Amino acid sequence: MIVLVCALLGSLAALAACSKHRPASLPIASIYGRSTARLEVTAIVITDEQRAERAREIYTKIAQLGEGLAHERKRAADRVTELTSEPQLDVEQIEAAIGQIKRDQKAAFVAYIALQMELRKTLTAREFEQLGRFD
Amino acid sequence: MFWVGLATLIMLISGTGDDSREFRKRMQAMHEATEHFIGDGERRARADRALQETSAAFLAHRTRLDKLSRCIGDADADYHATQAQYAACLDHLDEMWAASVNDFLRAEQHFRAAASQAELLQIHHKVLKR
Repeated sequence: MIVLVCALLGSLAALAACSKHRPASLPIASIYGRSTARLEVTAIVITDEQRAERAREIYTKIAQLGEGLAHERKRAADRVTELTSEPQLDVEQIEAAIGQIKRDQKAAFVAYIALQMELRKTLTAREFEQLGRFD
Repeated sequence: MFWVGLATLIMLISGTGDDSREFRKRMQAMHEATEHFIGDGERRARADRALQETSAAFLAHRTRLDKLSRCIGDADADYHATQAQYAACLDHLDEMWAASVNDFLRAEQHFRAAASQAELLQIHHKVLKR
């Protein structure tokens, strides 16, 4: 959320500063932070307009994956909350809800891997390394 | 109905638990409510231990997530990272969730065994209905 707010400000300096404070131990937050930080600087690092645009599209799709997953997490949490409101604890149903989260995470990760592979085809090693400095 | 371990699990699923300050606040409130509403010293001590188990489960889950996060971060930083290298990061996802659900459910059972229904309701109102 902090990174998102910073991105809205459109300030690269603010993005770099904020990225140091995000919770790096959480996979989705880390992925989201990295992609939004790099999204803003593609045009600076990649001089070829077409490839810069493609890289932007990829980073945008990665950020959208993170947002979609966050939405699914919320839905799953609501489902588990409903289940725990029942007088008896239905462990099977809770495990089924957790199973759905795992499936969502895996599906999102498969899509993420494909985008990362696409990114490597789009960027040179040097551009890739330069974008990595904006984490 | 009040589910201590599951309330924490829900925090983790929903993302509320991403902010560890929220978790610490919740645990502090649980400890205070337990202290206040469970009169019997022996049962109160057991309930406290169950809360400590919940904290340990939370930390264990975050540690597993941290490992996963670093694995993905390492692949992200490597231009030559392969599809297989990325896929390996998720090798233990099922075990990770199974271990976490198991930890939280066990803490849950211990807490419920330590408190009476009436006490659970009082704690529920104090902590979750704040």
